[in-house]
Amino acid sequence: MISLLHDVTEFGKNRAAMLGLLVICLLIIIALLAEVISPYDPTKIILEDKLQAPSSDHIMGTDHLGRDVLSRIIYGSRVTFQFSIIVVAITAIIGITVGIVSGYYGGVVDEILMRFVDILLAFPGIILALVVIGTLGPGINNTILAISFVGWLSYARVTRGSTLSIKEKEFIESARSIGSGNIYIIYKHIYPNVLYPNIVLATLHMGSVILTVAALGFLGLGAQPPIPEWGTMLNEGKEFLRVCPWLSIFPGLMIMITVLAFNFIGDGLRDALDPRMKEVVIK
Amino acid sequence: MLKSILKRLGIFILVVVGATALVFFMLHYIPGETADVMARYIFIGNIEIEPSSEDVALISQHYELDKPLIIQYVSWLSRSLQGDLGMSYNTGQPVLDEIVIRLPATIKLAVVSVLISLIIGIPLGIVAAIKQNTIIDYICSTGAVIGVSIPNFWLALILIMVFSLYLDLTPVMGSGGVEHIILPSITLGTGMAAVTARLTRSSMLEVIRQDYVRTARGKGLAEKTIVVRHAMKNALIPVITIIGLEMGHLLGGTVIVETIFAWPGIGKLLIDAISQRDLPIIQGCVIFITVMYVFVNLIVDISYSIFDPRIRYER
Repeated sequence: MISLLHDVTEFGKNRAAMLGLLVICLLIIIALLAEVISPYDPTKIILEDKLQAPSSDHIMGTDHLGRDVLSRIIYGSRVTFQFSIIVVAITAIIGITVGIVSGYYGGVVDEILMRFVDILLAFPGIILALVVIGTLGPGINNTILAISFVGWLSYARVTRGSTLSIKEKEFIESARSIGSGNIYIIYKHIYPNVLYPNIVLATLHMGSVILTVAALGFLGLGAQPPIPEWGTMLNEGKEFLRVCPWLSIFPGLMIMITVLAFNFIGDGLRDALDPRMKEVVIK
Repeated sequence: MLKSILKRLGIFILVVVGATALVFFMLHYIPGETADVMARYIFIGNIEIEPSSEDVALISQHYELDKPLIIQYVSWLSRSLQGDLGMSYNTGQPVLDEIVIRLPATIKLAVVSVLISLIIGIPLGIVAAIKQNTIIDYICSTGAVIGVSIPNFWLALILIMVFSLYLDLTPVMGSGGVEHIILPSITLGTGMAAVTARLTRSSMLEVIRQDYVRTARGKGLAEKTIVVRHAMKNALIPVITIIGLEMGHLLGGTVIVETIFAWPGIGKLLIDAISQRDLPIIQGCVIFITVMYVFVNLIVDISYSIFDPRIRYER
């Protein structure tokens, strides 16, 4: 309990992390209250209002179909959070499970799982996600699947590493000597101890998932119009870069702010919870 | 030493075979990929025209489409080892030719981007480490976090907006002269520079605390000599791995950046192929990019153990 309190105060002292936390809380509130606060319907097409510059009526202007950009940004935060939380949850569960099984049982199971991880790690960046989308076709559901396909690798590696060191500890041996079964030991002793590094990882992963979802949207392979996803909005807006720069500025700015906030929180959490954790490469 | 290199080579081969098999199985899982469709593309070049049954049979036989997937894969692998990656549905040209034509453009962009990232990232990382916990360190470190948080496709748009459209200094897209490579390489280099700066900083911090640096300081050497002659030389060893890591960032990033700037490289070829569902090209590009990435990392791994004897003896 004392150590938890210590960690919380450590984290609280990190100004960048607190700023990040504030931003994310604000964005979550915006996402939840989208219906209440957005001034217009984000998908309503009013052609006579198209491509208006930012004004008091439309703070962020309107797009080529006369839709209010601010409203689309607000609903876009909902889309972004919804999908990135789903991806992070799926990948964390898969990765932690694989990591614990691999690290705890070792042997052939470990060897096979880790070689499989090696194979998936062979694909740089979003390349494998592109293969999945090339196979299944564009769309937001396939995007989630594509990103999840490689997203669990970092969790598996980090968890396996932690599990390997924890299972040599004395309290595991004493648990075993009083007759605890493997499942019980994993659930009661291993799992709580691998949680910290994975929380750090999940926070940083949120940022990278948001970037990838937006990148695929930008390439026209992710969420399809008229869904107000930030990357998709950028893709639609880039045709009007010269005449209507606001269509490209605001969605990108939102992506950057959100990712930055998660990275600040993640760095702060790492410093507070697990200072020895080195730079992790997140796929 | 030899043993560890051999072990790495073994893993390299396993990974290449596994990764190519994965891509092959995933892409051939598509129901549309049949002898009928392939015959339409390969013999007629037009999806609308019905191919003759002999053509279909010929294709089916050549690509062994009636055999189980694993046999198809093995024969595909042996064909690709001889340089035959199939024909593009779209242009009818051999996939390998399509890739090789575009390779120089991608390599040029990659090399310039890595140079930019090292030129920006290493000095920033070193300065941040030397001035640890000062305002300079905070600015460098925060700058690095911002650098990794900027979506590269958005950065590209902003750069185009400012330098091409408003200031009219650089061309919007295309390739050719030096002026064409500036914006794409800055776009790619920025994110990588941020990663480089972070890794250089943490590696430098570790080295600065070592005994031999304290000894050098005890001898009364100038701070500049200590940093340049003693600390930096060792701190930069882990930075070699950055090149390996950056290749991943780079090869993923080129896909997006090449598409935005219409840079005629492999990344653009891949994205175009995905939208045209040109399966042989998708497969060829992905496998080519992946093998390149794994190969660079193999080289980095091996050179790492040459540069840092501690790693050689530990294994």
